Amino acid sequence: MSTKRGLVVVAGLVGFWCASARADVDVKFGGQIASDIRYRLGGEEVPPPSPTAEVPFPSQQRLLRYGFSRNENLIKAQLTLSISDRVKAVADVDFYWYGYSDVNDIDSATLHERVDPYRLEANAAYVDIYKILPKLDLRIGRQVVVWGTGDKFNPTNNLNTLDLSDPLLFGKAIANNMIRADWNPWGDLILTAVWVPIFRPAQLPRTAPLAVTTPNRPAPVQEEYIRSTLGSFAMAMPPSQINVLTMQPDPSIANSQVGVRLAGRILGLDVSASYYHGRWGIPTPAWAVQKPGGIVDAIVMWPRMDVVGADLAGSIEKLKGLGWWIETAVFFPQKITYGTYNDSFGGHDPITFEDKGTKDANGNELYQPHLTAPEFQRGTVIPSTPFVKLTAGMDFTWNKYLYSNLQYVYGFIDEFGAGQQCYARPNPTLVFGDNRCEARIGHYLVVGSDLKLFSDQLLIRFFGAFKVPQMGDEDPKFTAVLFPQIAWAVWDATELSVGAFVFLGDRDTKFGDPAAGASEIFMKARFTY
Amino acid sequence: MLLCLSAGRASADGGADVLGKVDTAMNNFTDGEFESKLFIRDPSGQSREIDFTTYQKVPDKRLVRFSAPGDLKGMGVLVENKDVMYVFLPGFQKVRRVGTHVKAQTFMGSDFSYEDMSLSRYSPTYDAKLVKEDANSWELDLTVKPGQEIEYPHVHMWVDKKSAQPTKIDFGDGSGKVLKTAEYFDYHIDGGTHWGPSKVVVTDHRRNDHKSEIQFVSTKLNQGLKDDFFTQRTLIRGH
Repeated sequence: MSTKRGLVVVAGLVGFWCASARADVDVKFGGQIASDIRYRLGGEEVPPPSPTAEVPFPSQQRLLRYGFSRNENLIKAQLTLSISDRVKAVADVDFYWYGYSDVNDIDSATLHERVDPYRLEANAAYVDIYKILPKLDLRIGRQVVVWGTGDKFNPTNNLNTLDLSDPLLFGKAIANNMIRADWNPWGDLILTAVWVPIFRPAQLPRTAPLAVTTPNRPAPVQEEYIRSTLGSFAMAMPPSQINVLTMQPDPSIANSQVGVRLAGRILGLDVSASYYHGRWGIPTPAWAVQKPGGIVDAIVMWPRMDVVGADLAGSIEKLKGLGWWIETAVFFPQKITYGTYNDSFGGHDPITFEDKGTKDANGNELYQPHLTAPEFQRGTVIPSTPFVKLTAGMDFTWNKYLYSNLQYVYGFIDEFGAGQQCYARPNPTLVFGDNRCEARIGHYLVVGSDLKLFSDQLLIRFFGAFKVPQMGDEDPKFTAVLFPQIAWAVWDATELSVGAFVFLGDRDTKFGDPAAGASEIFMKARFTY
Repeated sequence: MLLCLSAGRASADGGADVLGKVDTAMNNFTDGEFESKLFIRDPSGQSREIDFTTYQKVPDKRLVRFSAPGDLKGMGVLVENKDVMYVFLPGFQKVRRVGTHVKAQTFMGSDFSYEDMSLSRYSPTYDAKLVKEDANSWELDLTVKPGQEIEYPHVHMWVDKKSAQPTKIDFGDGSGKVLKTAEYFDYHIDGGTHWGPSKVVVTDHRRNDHKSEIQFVSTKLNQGLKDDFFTQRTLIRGH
């Protein structure tokens, strides 16, 4: 056989093999078309960070005290391709039109993308390979991995960061590129391992900069003396402008994230234990540099953490099938200190504190401030002290119309670190150092009910989260969020809904803090295909 | 209740015996895949349609996958046994264990409850009394056994002798008042010795005779579905 004939035979065999190996592709297509209009009630205007800084995009979407806060249209497309029962590829893309323009000059008024800005969000772009080895499945690509038995409040769920930009999503996980392997040796026992090469930060709400740029917000340090001293400095030299810079993790192997979870069933209960190594998705202040002219550069970073978690879920038949769950995690955070420097006199002088080894009348440590090198102690933003978050809940269907859900939450979705969180007390004028502090990890009751009428076509929903005061909180205050909603399934796959998201509390409370957001009313229309 | 099957001719030597034959007929297969359409009829005559496929392994295991309308597409329900249920919500990519209290909910707003959908044997729950018999049918009165918690403590069932299948069931409260009626139409052999109805119509008398109807589009029996198909892993895969 000549070489040429041999190649033809090989090519023919390869072609035959390819043809015989190719299976029919099962194609499924779906998606959504939706409209979302919201109006903001109260809160605080969020101005651009400085006159010289780039304004948010699109520039017309400004958070006014009273004004439209969202005017969005969505086209979602989902595509699933399957080959036999071994391979599946999934794409899920949201295409949003903001509904605001970004026309800052006459040139931009001639550009479609500035007159009608849009954005893309890929919720999924992954390939599943089932039984790549016996009892082993693989999922590679952009995906969401959700862990935990709690309802929306999942302390063990840290592989994907959260989309906090929309309070109505209540912390929807953001997809990220990762590799997930599930090994199911027998029964309900599943060992899951996940590797996330590149950290993706949480999507913050448009009000988040207020947490850093408000001039009289207390310095984010735990030591009361250092906090008040830094407050005194700020009062002496009030910042004229605060720029917030970020320190993103390098895309190195050392900054990748890993998670392992073992889940199964014991005595009828769903049980799992998990471990995560990575970062907290919400940035925390780490440096502040005072520059000439009252300009302050604040720098935030995403702290590392290790999390060991466990959860349980079951159903109590003696209580008519009442569902219950407990989920808890112990966080081991990276210690973050507050590096403060004074560059206003041309140098780069550290502001540090020397522990005097004595305490004041209130039992607070006393420190000696040092305004030049050498460096002594910095204030502590996140102590390395491990802390716990926990969710325990139950739900019940009273009858075919009414469903209720009750959860105790220790540690809200955005809370991180041991120690205290301090707020500037509300004052008619700018006052520094008048603060109210409470435990960073708070206690909450989350209650809600769904009333379904007319063959489930009308849903009346009311949910609320209420903060419960705890020992050590200064001057405990009421604060809560309420979420009433009416949704009408007009026809198959077609839903209209109206409702509100109401923040209650003074501005020195968890939900009254302007950085948390402002009350909104909304109207949505959605068709799913 | 829905997935009925013929067990051939039976002699009526008592209510319990007849009910046993009904149970046997309903479960006379090892596993099945039932593609169905659920129509929820409004009093105005308009109807909503929900498409779903049920995978079942006798006696208890069930996996329901919804394919339409769009807002339900991809959602799945797994019943591993009478006490263990999971729901997969594709929007959250999350499998959630749900308490069995959800059986009290209606099945997607229809006149079927989850309990209706999961009830495949009557004998463990009800005591039966044969109240009437003729050449073609039996009539049974079922009363709930002591200690059993169920929405309908009293049931009246008409059973076709040829197929040992219920043709009509009245579900009643403790006083015997009929709350809901299920009617089974067009039994036919749809695989081997299996008899299945073409459709089931349920009328809820508490809701102004509101009606829901399930039409069976296709049935595949004894395909060899294994126990490891009925797992959370399958649910999240979106089989």
